[in-house]
Amino acid sequence: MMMRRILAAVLLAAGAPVLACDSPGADYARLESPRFVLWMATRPAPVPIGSEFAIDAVLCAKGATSADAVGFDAWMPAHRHGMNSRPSVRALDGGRWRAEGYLFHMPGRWQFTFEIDTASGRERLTHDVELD
Amino acid sequence: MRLIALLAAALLAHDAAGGLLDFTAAELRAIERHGPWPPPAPRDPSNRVSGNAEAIAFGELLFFDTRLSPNGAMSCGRCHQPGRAWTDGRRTPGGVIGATGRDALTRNTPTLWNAGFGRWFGWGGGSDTIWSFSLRPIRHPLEMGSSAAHMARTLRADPELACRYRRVFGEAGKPDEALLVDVVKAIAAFVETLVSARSPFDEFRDALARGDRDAAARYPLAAQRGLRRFVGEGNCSVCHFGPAFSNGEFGDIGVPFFVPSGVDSGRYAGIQRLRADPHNLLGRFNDRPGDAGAARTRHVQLQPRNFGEFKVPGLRNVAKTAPYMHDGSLATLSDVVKHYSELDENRLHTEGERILRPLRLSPQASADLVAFLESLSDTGRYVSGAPSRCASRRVQ
Ligand code: HEC
Ligand code: HEC
Repeated sequence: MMMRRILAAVLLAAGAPVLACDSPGADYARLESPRFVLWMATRPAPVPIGSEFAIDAVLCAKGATSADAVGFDAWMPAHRHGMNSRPSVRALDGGRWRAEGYLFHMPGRWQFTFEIDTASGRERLTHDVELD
Repeated sequence: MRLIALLAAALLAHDAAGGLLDFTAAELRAIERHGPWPPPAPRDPSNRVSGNAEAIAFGELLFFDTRLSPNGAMSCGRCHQPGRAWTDGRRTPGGVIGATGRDALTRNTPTLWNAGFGRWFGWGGGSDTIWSFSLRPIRHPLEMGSSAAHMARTLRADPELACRYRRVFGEAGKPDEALLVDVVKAIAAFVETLVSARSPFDEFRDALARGDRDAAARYPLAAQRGLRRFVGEGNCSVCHFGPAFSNGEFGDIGVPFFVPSGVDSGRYAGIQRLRADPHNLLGRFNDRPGDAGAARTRHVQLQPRNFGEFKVPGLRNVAKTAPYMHDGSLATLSDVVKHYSELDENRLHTEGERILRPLRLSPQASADLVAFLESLSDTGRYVSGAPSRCASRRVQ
């Protein structure tokens, strides 16, 4: 909840609706929903099992929509359980976000989730990784 | 009929002479992840004397020094005994402390082998460093029942302890509380050095990794079959992950958590305790507050499912650390395997695809799993590293 609000504040302050949607780097994965594109890369890559890592993300709107808040999280869909930690998010330069405090504590399929709240509803972007 | 008997005889002969199962590529990868061993020595950035040889020697003395408890009877080493793989060999330490019933401590004394690789300490993970954890037994009335004042008095009065303190930390003129934190940091520096030695499993794992089939075939077939089940159908590696056989987190495997005073909520109370602890990594006693390591405590999340979760114990030297589980309720490794084999699914509260299912193992398969667990034992013995005296005998 906390990070949603922080992020919302920063996004609005930056007047963020339209950012360049180009890839920020070769190591970024591209996620897409009807109104948004999100690029993400893990730090370090690949994701280590059982130790903390961070992700860098760039969010851009395809049109004139603005995001009120973005929730960063991850879970294991098959086991229906999430992480034992809750990431915190801060702004880097160039419209990038750094979310810290991820920890995937077991091998298997994990899914990053990004829930974007807008004035007209929520959009959800996901990205799967298989850890073995 | 005769053919079967012949086959069985051939199999037995094969078993005795050794051999190598035809592990799949996925199995080989899973096995390899449980090494290499030993990893680089653990270091704790929040403890400025972590890895410092003088501090380790000082910490070792303190660990065994019963004068740290006001009644002169208790030390860390009374419950964490080197000859018992740093446990007390009891279900719970009641017998050690001479208390039973409601007053007794309700948790089993865990081994300290490889504790330094952990992220959370205690069965509920109520502490984020070994040094902050160690304040608990020192202060707990049923354990050492000590205090900062008693500790400081003992330290200042004894020339040997005072001399060692000075060498590691400088003058002992600080407030008692600060002195106590220094003391537990020296003890923690010692505890971190307790890394178990190589086991038959490590020889096998390394032989496989370098493709040396002959050397690998020396590992008993029963252990190989147990290992295959451990990384495969048993799903054991999911939680008992990596070189230390623990993912460092918490799980619910259906061990009952009732205690005389109600319930032991495990990780749930652990997180609450952690957050309330002024000595946690976010507090002012962390020697490197900006270090990334503190992030784990900032980001930890309290969730309903933490209720009844306990720390996933590492399994190296597990054959030497009976009895088992957070409450010491299982006497032998066979009992543990039986627990996983007959698991009561109603006791587990998972919503999704289960990681744990009752394995319904045959006696042979159970024995194999035990053989594998036994192959995680090293043959090393603890050798005291304490060097010669610090204080000169003449100066009193
Ligand atoms: C009366 C017996 C007793 C004494 C004395 C004692 N311990 Fe323990 N120790 C335990 C028990 C029981 C636990 C599990 C506690 C829990 O989970 O809440 C434990 C847990 C630990 C752990 C956590 C290990 C892990 O991997 O989670 C560490 C570290 C530890 N003790 C170190 C010490 C040190 C250092 C001292 C001396 C300052 C000490 N203990 C004194 C019984 C004892
Ligand atoms: C869901 C995670 C998980 C899985 C999967 C799992 N364990 Fe465990 N294991 C634990 C936890 C948590 C404990 C401690 C439980 C307690 O004390 O209440 C434990 C305890 C143990 C212990 C006792 C160690 C001690 O020092 O007390 C052994 C041995 C063990 N497990 C072996 C296995 C084997 C063999 C398998 C596969 C059949 C397995 N585990 C699967 C989480 C898991």
